[in-house]
Amino acid sequence: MDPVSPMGGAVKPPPRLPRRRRAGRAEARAGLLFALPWMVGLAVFTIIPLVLTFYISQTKFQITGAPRYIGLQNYAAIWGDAAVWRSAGNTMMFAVISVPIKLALALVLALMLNRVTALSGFYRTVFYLPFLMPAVAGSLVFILLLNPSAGPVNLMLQGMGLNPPDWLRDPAAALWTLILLSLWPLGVETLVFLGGLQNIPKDVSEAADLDSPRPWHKLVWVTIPLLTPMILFNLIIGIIYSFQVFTQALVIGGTTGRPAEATLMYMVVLYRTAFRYFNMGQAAAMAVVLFVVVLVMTLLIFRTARSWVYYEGDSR
Amino acid sequence: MGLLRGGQPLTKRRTAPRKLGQSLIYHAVMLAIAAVFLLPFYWMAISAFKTTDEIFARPVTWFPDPIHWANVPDLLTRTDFPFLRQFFNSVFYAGSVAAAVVFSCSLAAYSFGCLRWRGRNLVFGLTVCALLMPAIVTFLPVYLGWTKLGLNGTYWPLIAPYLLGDAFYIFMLRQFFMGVPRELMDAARLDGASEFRIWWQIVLPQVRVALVIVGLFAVVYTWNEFFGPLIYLQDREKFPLSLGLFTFQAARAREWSAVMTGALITALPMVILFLLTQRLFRQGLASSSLK
Amino acid sequence: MGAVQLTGVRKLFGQLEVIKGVDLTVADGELVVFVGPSGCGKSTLLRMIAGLEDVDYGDIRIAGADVTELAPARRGVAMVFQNYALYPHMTAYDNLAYGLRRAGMARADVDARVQETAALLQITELLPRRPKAMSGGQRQRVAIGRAIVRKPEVFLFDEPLSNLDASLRVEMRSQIARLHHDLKATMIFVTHDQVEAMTLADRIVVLNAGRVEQVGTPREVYHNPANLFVAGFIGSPAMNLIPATAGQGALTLPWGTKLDWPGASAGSVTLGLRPDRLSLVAESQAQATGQVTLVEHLGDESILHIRLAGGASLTIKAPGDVGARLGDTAHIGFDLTNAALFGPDGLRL
Repeated sequence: MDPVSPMGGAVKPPPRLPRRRRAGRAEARAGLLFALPWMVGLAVFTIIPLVLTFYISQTKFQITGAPRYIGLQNYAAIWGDAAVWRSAGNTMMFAVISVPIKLALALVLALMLNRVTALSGFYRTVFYLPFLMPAVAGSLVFILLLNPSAGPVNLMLQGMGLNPPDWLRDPAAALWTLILLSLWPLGVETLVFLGGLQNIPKDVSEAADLDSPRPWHKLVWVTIPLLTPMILFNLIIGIIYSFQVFTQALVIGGTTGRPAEATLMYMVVLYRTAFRYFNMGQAAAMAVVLFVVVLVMTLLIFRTARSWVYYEGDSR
Repeated sequence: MGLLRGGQPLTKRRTAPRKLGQSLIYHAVMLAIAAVFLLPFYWMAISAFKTTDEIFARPVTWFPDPIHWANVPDLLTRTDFPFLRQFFNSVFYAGSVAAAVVFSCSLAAYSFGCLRWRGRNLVFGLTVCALLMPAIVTFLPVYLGWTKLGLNGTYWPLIAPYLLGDAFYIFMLRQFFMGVPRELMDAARLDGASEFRIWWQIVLPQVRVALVIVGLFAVVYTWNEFFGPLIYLQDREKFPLSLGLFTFQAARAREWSAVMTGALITALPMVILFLLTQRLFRQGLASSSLK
Repeated sequence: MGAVQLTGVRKLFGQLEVIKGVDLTVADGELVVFVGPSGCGKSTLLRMIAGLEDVDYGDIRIAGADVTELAPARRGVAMVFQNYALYPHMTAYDNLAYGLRRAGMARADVDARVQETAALLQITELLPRRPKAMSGGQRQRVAIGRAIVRKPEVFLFDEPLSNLDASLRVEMRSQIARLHHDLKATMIFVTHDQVEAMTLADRIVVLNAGRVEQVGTPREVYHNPANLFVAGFIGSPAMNLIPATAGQGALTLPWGTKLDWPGASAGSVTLGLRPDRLSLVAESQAQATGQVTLVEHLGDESILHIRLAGGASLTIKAPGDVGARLGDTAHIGFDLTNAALFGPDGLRL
């Protein structure tokens, strides 16, 4: 009546029936189907274009007419193009200066915002607001703000006794216009850090309070290390985006990066190569170069990340 | 705390004078920083209502005198630059993308977040890579493709990709979908609902908030979008505001007053939208950053 | 109503075999309880019967029909989930009606069924409410209602009482028992709580690590455990399992005591004695001696934990209040009626 299976030790192989083919396992089919549109999108708008860009970069292509294979000539042309080098230098400087400063400021701001006060909501709104400003509008306002004679910035700096440069006409200072403009919308980074701060368990924070003779001890040895995943995240995102800066550069510097190519950014050069000179092949080559550079930087950061980023569940 | 007995407090409440001082300093600093952050908005707003001469007048005026309210309707009724038209273009553009995104990404996010299938992790991994991929390296062939199809100059290249999905929004939505208990879907399966019906009738209602958040983000990002419209649109009548403002400034560089009015019109809708829906924005960021 | 038959059912997660060849028959109208420690596979087995998990080898028949490849909704099963899984955005009425509507039932018929079920479970006034406007017990009843309304061949319960507090649990248990009696339904119930298993089941299936250890009525499983695992799992407090050496008609316990056991063949064995088979005796009659490490006063009975000289511990269940206190020396006597003996492989001898 009741088949009682023997326990453990008895070795009796179960009946060897053929493995069932899961005819219509509904969930797996559905999973694939639901993801299908996106997979198509991935292929058509990301994977295939990526490959094609590599291909186009080795051709001479003026949109009208067919592409003609010319090997690595485009890369040689870029290598010898002064504008490309200038813009690459500007972009690199821009990224290397603005990203760390932005992260540091966002961190400080997040630390300061990590208090519950009556005005907390107001502050968070204010610091997040710049993120909503369309890039074009924001850049235009900054042009006005930094106007040497009629802009409040210089006015205030002069009022403090400093001698501010002519932001928009002095080539040495022009890049800083862009940098300052990029620092303004740090709402996203701040919020990410704030989220990280609030994720620190309360008792860990209190233990640190007990253990730290000075408040900054806690900051350096406990808080910041626990924030390193957020720092990593913001760093990667920041690098990727800062290398592609375009709209602000175009508005402030035009397609020539005035004054004197000081604000000429890599993406702008790429844009004009493709859409003013119609040299698709060279533009593609520029894109490939940027891709490789960003990829290498990202990988390097990830490689070093293991040593300085705190991962949940690990001990250092 | 002191107890009141016969109206007399037994002990005196300790005040913390140091805390009060700290608080004041804190708020003073924060308000100063807030003022710096708000300055561009303020400047834009006041400049929009000044005349161009007044903007550049010395000494600098911190408040327009008089307030030229007429700047706004003047700009919108200009015949050489169709700002009003462009405003509606922006609304159309942002709305379409948001609708497309909400639909397409909720399909994919449901697949990644709620269903188990072979290859899921691989495809999701590719999605994360797509997220980090600089757009610079994929836009050229896509542009050439659209041109070959003859759709350059329309909104198709700008909206169609979102009908299939977008890595960023899929990533954001997936977090929310993963929070729907599996039991709910199992119960519906037992009740005989098809997988599509489960998605539509059972799971989507649970993630309503997430869909609104993603829609909001899509609206904001698309409203501010510049590069896409720049390369695909040539007819001024079709431009969204972001592009319209740019071409206006490029053509009429001296009319700063009008430029600022244009900037105000471009920026204000998003600011208002944000102020009305703040909590949702913060929720959206909070969930996607916890990666 | 239908019977359930599992033949050679196996399931693997990658290389890991989680259900290791289960053969089982549930008779029509029976209430069978799957019980076992967490991770033993009882929920997985239930979900396989429901069609929510794949069967890798073997088949499942419900009411005579092979359902192994069928979708869950086609198998004639209904399930009550641990967390009720009520559709939060629908009223109780819609929750009950959902499955019927999906099956294409006419609106009037749907309404009739829903009202009938609601009356049976006394939840009619809850019908227009949403789950969040209901208490835990109410949600439970709606969840059960959703299962009943489909008139399935088999009812499946996946630990439905685990989330309820103690008093509610007892009440729901009797409700389920009454339901079983009224509907004469075939039910399979999963729980980790062996008291629940013992009180509800017509038959109990004891599972461990993907294998069926024993199937039997609660009496059988309690009094005649088939192996060491079942002996140690069923019954609270757990059966005392004492290693011993058998030979020449007697058992020798580790501390020297010899017990008569005619017919015991030589070898090492394990003696199983339920705590109520042990009692405190005078020193002269002691078959084991140790120190009291814990006394639990339960009102009508007491449970004493004794640690013996060699390090082993024994549990005694005695009626009423016992005078023993922590640290006291205890002399223990054994009553060998209904004692169980297990061989070196763990099987009952």
